[in-house]
Amino acid sequence: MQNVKKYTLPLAFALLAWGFWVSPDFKEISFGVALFLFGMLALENGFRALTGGVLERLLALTTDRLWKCIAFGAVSTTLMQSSGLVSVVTMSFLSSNLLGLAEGMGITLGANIGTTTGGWIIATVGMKMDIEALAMPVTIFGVILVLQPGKNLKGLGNLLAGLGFFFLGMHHIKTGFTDLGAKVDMAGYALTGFTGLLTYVFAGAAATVLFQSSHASLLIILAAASAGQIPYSAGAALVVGANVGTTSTAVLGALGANEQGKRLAAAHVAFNILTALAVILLMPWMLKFVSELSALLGFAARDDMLKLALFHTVFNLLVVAVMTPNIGRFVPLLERLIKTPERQVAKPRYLSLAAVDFPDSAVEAVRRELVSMYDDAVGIICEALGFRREEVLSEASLSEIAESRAEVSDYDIDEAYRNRIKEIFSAVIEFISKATFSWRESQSQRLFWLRDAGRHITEAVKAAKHLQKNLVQYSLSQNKTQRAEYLKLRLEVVNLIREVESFRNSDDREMLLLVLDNLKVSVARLEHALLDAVYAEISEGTITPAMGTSLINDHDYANEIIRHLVDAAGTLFVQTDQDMAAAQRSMALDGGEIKQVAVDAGKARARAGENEK
Amino acid sequence: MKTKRLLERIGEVLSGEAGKKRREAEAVKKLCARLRVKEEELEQRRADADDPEKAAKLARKIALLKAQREKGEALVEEKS
Repeated sequence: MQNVKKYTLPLAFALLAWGFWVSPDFKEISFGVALFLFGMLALENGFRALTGGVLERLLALTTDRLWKCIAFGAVSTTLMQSSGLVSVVTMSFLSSNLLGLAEGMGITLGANIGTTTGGWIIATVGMKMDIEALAMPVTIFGVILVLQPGKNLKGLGNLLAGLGFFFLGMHHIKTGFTDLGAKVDMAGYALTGFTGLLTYVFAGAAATVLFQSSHASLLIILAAASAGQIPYSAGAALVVGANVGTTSTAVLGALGANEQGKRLAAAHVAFNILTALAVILLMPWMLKFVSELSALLGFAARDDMLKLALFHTVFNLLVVAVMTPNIGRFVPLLERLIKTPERQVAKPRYLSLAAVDFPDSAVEAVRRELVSMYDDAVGIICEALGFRREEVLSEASLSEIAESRAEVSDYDIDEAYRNRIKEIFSAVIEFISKATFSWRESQSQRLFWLRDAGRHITEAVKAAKHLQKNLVQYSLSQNKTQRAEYLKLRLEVVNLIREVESFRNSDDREMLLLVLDNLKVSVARLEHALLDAVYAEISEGTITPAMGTSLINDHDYANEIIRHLVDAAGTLFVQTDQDMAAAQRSMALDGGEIKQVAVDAGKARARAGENEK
Repeated sequence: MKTKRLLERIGEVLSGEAGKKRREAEAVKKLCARLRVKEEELEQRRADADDPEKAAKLARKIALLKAQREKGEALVEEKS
């Protein structure tokens, strides 16, 4: 396979070079295709630079209704003249679970409609006007702007240059086919019958897969029709093939996506192929219908270009009309055929290549992955303390569970840390480094805090590693007081984990960063209480000073676990805008202030106790 | 001098810095107001609490809210 790939490009170049030598018209047409494809690329770059997140924000607004998703797909593809960019954004959102599969399918169907406007532009402006006169100045202005500093000017330059190359490409393809038509009457070699129909469908699909652009193949089809090189029926079959071939972009995009992206690609292929098969079987009636419709619309009887543009539109409207009511049936079918893979604990779930293309979906993918890592970390810490995660997150009495399971098992926390925490965090860092766009300031800030949350999670598990060493030993200690203190320590940690979980799902999520300070105060109070208790126990002789030191050190580890989990939870689970989150961070108390509040609260309690006496 | 200050201000507005500072200060003020309301609510509950343990817990929450609010008010004072 490697050898095939190695020789494909030189072979393609050799064939093209031979073609150029044999036929100047073939050279002209190929040149036109090259200019056209380059123009499409420049247009896409221009839109990416200029819209700067607008597309994603618009997409986020349209996900609640299917008709909005279809409209979004149609309008954005029409404006950008590229279903590729819309497809990439959709795949990116889908991979980060920001969009459901049904909505993704709606956008894909809408993009199918939007793509048909390209045919109209080509059939009207492209083939009937002197576009070269327009294309030249537009290209010149575009190239000058591309050379300017500044992202917006470059983006505008790419747009203009892209448009210029787009039209220049059309002009050369039209010229090439016109000149070819003067020498060779290819219409005389047109294939007929069902075999001919299938051959043209296959040719249309193959050309679109090769160019990775249905616009490019449509342009060639319309130019050939305009020069009388292919009959209307052959053009229609080529258009059907182009519609099938266009799904290859989605298939290629799905290679880097998770199972949702793959399901969307499968849906796109299924929509287009099923409708293509239906149209192939009904082709004579479709051709007649479109001919009559074009006559009704006032198109000239011999204007095959406009008829083909109309055929393309009718065909895609048929796809949308037939498939939209069936989206609900497709979703469970696709979920059965393309199953969510069994969770491999060491592999990330949300960091697919598709999600890294756009900033907003990339940030959300990182957040979701870290939430998953947080849940894993809580599970590991609970196991290290002799509990199961489900027990800690339930309403069950933790002291009863702890007493029934006094011995802490020798759970391999090192392996769990390496496979489930370190691996995932490394994947998150690698994912962020793969982003090729520049982040907006708000996204950079969000990523900073998310990375910080990841660090807190790893530190919490590392602290649990240290704590577990003594827990395993001292849970079986001969000294009753020491055993009791370590039991108390285990319970403190898991009770605080339970409290963090309760905040996670509460109504206080908007002010979570401030609310979580309550837990930090609780930790500070427990630390204070422990120190008093340890000194008392040492002076009473119930524990040795060495045992007391171990207890204090292990309590520090326990505090670290809670502090790091609380800090991670504050970033991952807070639900508010960036400004509110920043305000909460500035108002949240630091370590010294927390201790002061804990000490003052302790004093107030002591005073209240005395007053009561 | 006035022109220089004006140009600086225009620069802040164009770069978005002015807006960002203003939004942050407003968010802190909003939070302080919410914390004050919460504080008063908890004070009322503490006054009505018959269980000393419950009253002590509420007192701790009030102390925390007060510390956070005072920190926020100091920040607003500093920025204005």
